[in-house]
Amino acid sequence: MKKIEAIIRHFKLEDVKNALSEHGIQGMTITEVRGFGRQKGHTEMYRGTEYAVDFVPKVKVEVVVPNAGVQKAIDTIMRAAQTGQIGDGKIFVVSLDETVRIRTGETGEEAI
Amino acid sequence: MSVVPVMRASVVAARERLVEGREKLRRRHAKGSPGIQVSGALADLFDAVVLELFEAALADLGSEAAGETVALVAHGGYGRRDVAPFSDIDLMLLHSAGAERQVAPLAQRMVRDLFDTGLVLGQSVRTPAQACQLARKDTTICTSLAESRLLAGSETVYGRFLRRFRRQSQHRAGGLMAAIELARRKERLQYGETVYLLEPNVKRSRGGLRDIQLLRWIGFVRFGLNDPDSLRLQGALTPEDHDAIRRAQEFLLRLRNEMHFHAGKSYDLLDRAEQLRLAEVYGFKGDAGLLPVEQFMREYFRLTDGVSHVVQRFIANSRPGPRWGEWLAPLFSHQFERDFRIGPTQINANARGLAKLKGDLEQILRLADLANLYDKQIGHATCEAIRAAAPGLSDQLSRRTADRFLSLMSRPPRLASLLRGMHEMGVLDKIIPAFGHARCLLQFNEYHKYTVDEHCLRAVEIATQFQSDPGPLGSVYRRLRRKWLLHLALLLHDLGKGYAEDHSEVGLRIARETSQRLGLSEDDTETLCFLVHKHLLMAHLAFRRDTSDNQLVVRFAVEVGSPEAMQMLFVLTAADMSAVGPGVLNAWKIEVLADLHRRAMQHLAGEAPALASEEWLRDRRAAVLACAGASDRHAWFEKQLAELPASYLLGRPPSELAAELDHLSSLEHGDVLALGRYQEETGAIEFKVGTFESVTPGVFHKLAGALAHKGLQILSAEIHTLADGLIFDRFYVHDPDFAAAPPQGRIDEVCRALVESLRQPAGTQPLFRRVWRAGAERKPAALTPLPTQVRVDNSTSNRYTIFDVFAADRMGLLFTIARSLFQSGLSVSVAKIGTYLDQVVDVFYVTDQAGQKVCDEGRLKEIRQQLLAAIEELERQEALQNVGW
Repeated sequence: MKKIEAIIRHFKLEDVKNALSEHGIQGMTITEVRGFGRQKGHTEMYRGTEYAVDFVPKVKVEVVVPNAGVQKAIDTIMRAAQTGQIGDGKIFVVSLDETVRIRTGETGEEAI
Repeated sequence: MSVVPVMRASVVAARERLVEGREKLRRRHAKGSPGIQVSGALADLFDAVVLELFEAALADLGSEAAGETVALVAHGGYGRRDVAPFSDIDLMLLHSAGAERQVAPLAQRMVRDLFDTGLVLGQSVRTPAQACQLARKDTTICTSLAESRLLAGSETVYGRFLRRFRRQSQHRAGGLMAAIELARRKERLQYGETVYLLEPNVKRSRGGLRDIQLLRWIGFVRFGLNDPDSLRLQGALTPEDHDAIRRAQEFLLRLRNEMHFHAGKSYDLLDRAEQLRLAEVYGFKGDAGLLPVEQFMREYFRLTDGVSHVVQRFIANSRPGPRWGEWLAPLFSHQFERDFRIGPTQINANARGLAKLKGDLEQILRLADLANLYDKQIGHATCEAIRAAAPGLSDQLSRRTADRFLSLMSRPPRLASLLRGMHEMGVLDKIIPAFGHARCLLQFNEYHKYTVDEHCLRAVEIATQFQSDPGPLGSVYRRLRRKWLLHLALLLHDLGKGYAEDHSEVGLRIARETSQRLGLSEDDTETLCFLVHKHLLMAHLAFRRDTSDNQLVVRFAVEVGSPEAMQMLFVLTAADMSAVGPGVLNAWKIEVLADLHRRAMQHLAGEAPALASEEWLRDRRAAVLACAGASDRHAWFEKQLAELPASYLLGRPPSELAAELDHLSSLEHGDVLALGRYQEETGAIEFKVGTFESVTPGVFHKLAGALAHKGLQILSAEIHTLADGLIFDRFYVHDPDFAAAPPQGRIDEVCRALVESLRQPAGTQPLFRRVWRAGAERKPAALTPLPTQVRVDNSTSNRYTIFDVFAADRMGLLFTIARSLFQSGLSVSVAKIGTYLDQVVDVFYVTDQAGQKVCDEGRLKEIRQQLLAAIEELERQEALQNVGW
């Protein structure tokens, strides 16, 4: 089992969500986040001069998938979230020890 | 050894009786028996069970004599006889002092037996004195005992208790009422303060059964009567209020019975699943615009809303005698126009004022407007008079009434609470009839927390709170001139809900009707209709579209049309989201919205005033001064910097700004300075022109003409008028004759032409050259160009009238627009010209020749028409030219 955390452009959320559910991924967690990567935050081009503004608003999508489905999930997110411009975001894959469904007590991949 | 459960025969019998009785009543309920009858029958059933066990206990314990010293008393809801199938029952064993020893075994046995039958019991054993003492200390006990009923045993003991309790309650009526109200308020806070909570608790939420009980308790304390029927006979409750309470009580009791029977246990929460089920049980069919569940909940909200108001009113009317504050009021208040008295916290109508208020909407609005102006609450008695008069009000609006309403809408302090009050009193419907439809209209989705009317009122409230918001929303809201227009748009924005058609379209019609009713000007009507019709536009773009795409932002800016409308839409969008429910609008969302707002404002107003903080600008000016170094012209630099707009200051490095100012500082009156430079990174040529206003009238259009004459395409332009009439213009142009850097000779030639154009006598019109180059022929545009538009905004700037011109790009366009403005006798002080693919967004800050804003509607209309005609003419000529070639 892996947890996939994708930081994406906020307006790509609908696309990513739809693409993931088309590929059979049923649950996901969404968080509104702020941050920056190599993009160094928000830069405003104004008449050729840049000035830094602040952290950039992004959306974090978290999904948990069985090992076999990791590559497909990554591809799906990438295809849906790409614009080709700086600031498209990142995908992190994290190993997961355990998953428990609270209502039934099911564990492991059953509980995803 | 196995434990054999032993249960007394009497208990087994009682238990069977209870189960059977309940089942029988369930069937009766299902057949449609009124809630009050089923509840009464349930109370009878419980009584029978309790009495049977009580008598069996007395017989078994051999203490029939205890009947002389003990009274079995039902209290709380059970005392009142309105019990639901699985309600708790409250019992008190009341005994005379000194009989403790006899009573103890009886009490033990009763508790055990009743528990075994499956009833949920609240029990106590007290003497009359103890009971009264506890009631004194604890409001909950007190209210519960106010509903006492003797079930069995000694009438003497019970009578002793009742007399003492009644005396005590009425003796300290004032304090007790306050305590009861407070306890109820706390409970309501916990279970939902507004009636319009979408998952209410039928007992505890506002307007629920508990509020009907509150009325009984207050009635008991104040009048010694707790039954609505008796209160009505006493005149403490008006027939209408009595009727509202009766209807709501019947509805709620039956509803709660249904919920208990269905759940098979005590269950009072009206959650979404239960709402859906009940809408079906109650046979709501739905119609084109409303789901069955929405109809059901509207019924629920209407009734509980009624309860909530009747009870508030009843409490206010029951407050004992005139208090010191009221005696002293005349000393601390003043009379207003002989109709109203304005006190420290309240405004009240006197006899003369009350007479005026009756049946006259204008007077009611006058009062509301005054209350808003002085930031006072409208007194209770005055509210009552208005409520009574409301149904008889005509829904024809006179000019004066409309003006009063608009004046009220323009002031933030109490606006939302006054509007809410007017809605509750039934006055708002008379002004905006569409508000009647929205009353108690539930929106059955996971998103909205309030009914439509409450949502709209809340949106207005939130907008007025932006007055003290430290962020971008506050600074935009505070600058809005026509706040009333924003408030009105918020009040109307969702009223189109609950019809089959898209709510924005219905909303547009409502906005149009309302504008007509209120007699708004054409311009105001247009803005209002736009805001209501497009209230979802900005949220949609900001959260669903790539706002770093400049083309999208330009299209958005063009659709919104003016800086003022853009600012209003920004505030409206935020207030709308925030009014959906707690936590919906957060810092993250504000940031996303503010970003789009700022980008769009750059196109509409040349800058985003709200987001350039003063501190930032100060730092920037200091940096430029530092670059300029120490010189005798320091004061001059400072003066010019103060005039430079924020976008300009922030848009380039301080060293460049310092160098530019240095050039300008040596200019004399009558001089013209023109500089040109090719910019590698953008592939455009930048021309800067410095001169003084006095050199010639219409500087801007002449420069634009010179550039067009030389066959240059103007990509963007900024013009600034600085201190002492110093003009500093900057043009970014594309030279179609040269793919890369043009030779210096060409740049010099253009500079000369720029200087010449200002020195030449007026009247020579430049010829526009037809440009030959690859891609110069206009391809059928991928995006249909939007129609040419000219918008006027007199609100955003203190000193200038702002013209926004949207048109498809063509050679000579800027010259044509600038000349048209010049010929209309306007002076352009600031301009920002932007070309985005084939769409041009031009912003002009203009004044008339006297340096004043142009406010005359007729004049503005004329200027607009001239501009449109000029652009059309250019278009026609271009078409002719194309045919010729």
